[in-house]
Amino acid sequence: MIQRTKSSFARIGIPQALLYYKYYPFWKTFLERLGFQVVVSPATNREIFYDGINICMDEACFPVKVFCGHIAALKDKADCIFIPRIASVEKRGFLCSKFSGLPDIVRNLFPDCHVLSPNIDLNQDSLFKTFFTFGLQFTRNPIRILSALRAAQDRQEKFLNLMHEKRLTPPEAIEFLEQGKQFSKVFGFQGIKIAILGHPYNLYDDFINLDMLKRLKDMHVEILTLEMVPEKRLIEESRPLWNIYWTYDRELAAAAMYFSKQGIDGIIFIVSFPCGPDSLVIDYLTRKLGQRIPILNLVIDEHRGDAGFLTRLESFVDLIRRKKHEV
Amino acid sequence: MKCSFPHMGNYYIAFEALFKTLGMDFFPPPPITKRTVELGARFSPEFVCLPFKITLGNLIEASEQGAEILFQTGGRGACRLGFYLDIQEKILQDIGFDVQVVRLFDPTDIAYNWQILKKLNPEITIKKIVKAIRIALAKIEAIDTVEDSIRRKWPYIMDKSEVERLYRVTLDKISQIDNPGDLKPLVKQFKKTLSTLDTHLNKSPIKIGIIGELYVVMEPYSNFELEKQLREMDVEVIRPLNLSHILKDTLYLRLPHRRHMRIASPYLKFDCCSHANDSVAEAIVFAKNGVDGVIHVKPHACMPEVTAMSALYRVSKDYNIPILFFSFDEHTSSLGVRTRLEAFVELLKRRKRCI
Repeated sequence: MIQRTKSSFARIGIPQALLYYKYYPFWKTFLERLGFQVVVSPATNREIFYDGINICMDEACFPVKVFCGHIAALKDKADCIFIPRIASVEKRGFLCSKFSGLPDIVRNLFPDCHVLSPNIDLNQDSLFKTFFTFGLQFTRNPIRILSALRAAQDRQEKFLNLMHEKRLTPPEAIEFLEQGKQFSKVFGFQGIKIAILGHPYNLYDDFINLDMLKRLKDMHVEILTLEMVPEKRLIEESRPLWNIYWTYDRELAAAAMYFSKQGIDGIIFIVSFPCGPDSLVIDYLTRKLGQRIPILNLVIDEHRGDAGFLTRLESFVDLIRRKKHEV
Repeated sequence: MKCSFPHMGNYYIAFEALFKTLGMDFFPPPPITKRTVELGARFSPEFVCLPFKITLGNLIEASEQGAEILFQTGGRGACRLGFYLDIQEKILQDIGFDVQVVRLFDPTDIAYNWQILKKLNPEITIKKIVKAIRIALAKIEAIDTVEDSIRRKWPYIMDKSEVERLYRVTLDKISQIDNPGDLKPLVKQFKKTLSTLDTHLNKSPIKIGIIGELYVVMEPYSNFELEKQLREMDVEVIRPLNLSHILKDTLYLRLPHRRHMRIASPYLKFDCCSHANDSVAEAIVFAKNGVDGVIHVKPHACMPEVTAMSALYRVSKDYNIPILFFSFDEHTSSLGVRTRLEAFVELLKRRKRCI
């Protein structure tokens, strides 16, 4: 039981990996309103990367290894770690089984770590109920929990709006919310448009994806991502893809279908090895869309082959550019 | 219209009974060979799990022989199995086969199942379906009981070739029987004959428990005939995981699974999907019941079983029971598997002498 005295707040750690990129504003606001002092691990760096690979199981997927590296970096800086167990985020939908097992993996690999893990499973309980019950462990005041939830929801909405309207990436949106840092975005670009689709923990972690987004920007490519798809269109495109039961993968598939109809120049799928759901869904999408639009499947893993990665990226962009100029 | 269904161990006997009783033109795919795995791997997505590759190989070979409707298992859930059929259908169609891949049974869409059954046999009735399910379940139980008895008794019986012969004869008889009522007496007779064979009285063989992912545990080709190799080393193999167990789990509202979750709860607080919690619970039960060692098998990068591994490292340490981890894909070397198995059994023998 984490005790909180009046003068010192218990430090709760949130690793900057996996679903941090989706839900950090909600979690941070909720936990701070409950009286915790939130500590975040640094952005992925060499030490975190190597710690993760050494500690985690060999065959775990790359993002989970990176997550373990973040836990190693965080465990001495916090009294406990916040790792929600997430089985589903929508009715009749599922997430990769790793998210169901994440708190248990950490508990087994780091036995002296205190892990707090609310059980988020929208096939069983509402989000409200889960977080409310979780809050009751730390305060007996239900009003406090309710207002914490409200504040967290507001913050999360702001976060989503920043990404939709101002075209910020999740790390940029978080920096804007926390520090008010402004980002200038150029619209109406006359270069080639490429949709980059992948899980946010692969797409926005510049260390593990070898700074892919910056390299593409340097090649004067306009980058389109999932967060830029209007919500209504995403829902529309999701309906015929209901057979894909992993929520995040279905969203990516819907975004791919949407962008393929927008006359963009190409799609890059970024997948980490050996992601279970992606191994099937990306192949499925490539077979569906491959005739219509150029597609590049980029696989990232712990063997950081800079040269090969960059070559493939540059070749793809070159090919598209050439094709466009010929037309 | 011809139909088919992928292989899994000897269960094709039961599936044949199921589909033939339903009045369908069913044939099992050719037995799994190197070609099956190579075909499956060639057309599979890059890092998909081994069961996908082998079952795809089965479906390709069945399509080559004229199957038009292919059945596949799996339901919506976190593990990849539920999505096999969508992409396997696309792959087969891209290769050029005009086939449909259908979920064997979808509890959320019974109308669809009924449509497919009607298409394959316009004279289908509820009575036939009940009859088919009865005979299939009875055959599955018979096969599992026979195989389990052999596993348990193998090291103790002197005349191994007689056991093999009895096994083959009994399997043949099971496949020929049409009336479910005849199966129980057959199995009883088999057990009786088995118990009359001469045994070593004072033998104390090494006991090894097998846990892991369903397909790789139950399909001998995918695990390099692990059980056969262990039998050759005179080991008593204990394998609680079989199709009867899985079907019972579903029928009994998943109470066995929930029991496993309770047993594994010190190591896995939540349900880590598929058989992760069951694997860990079975390992703990083995440790508590004096089994000498545990072998955990899985396809390469199986999502839930990798989660189970994180718990199994601790179980091995806490209960002082050696666990050997295997990870299979089409590149696994059979010699490597053999070497590791021999070393493991040797280690267990020495441990047993010292303790």
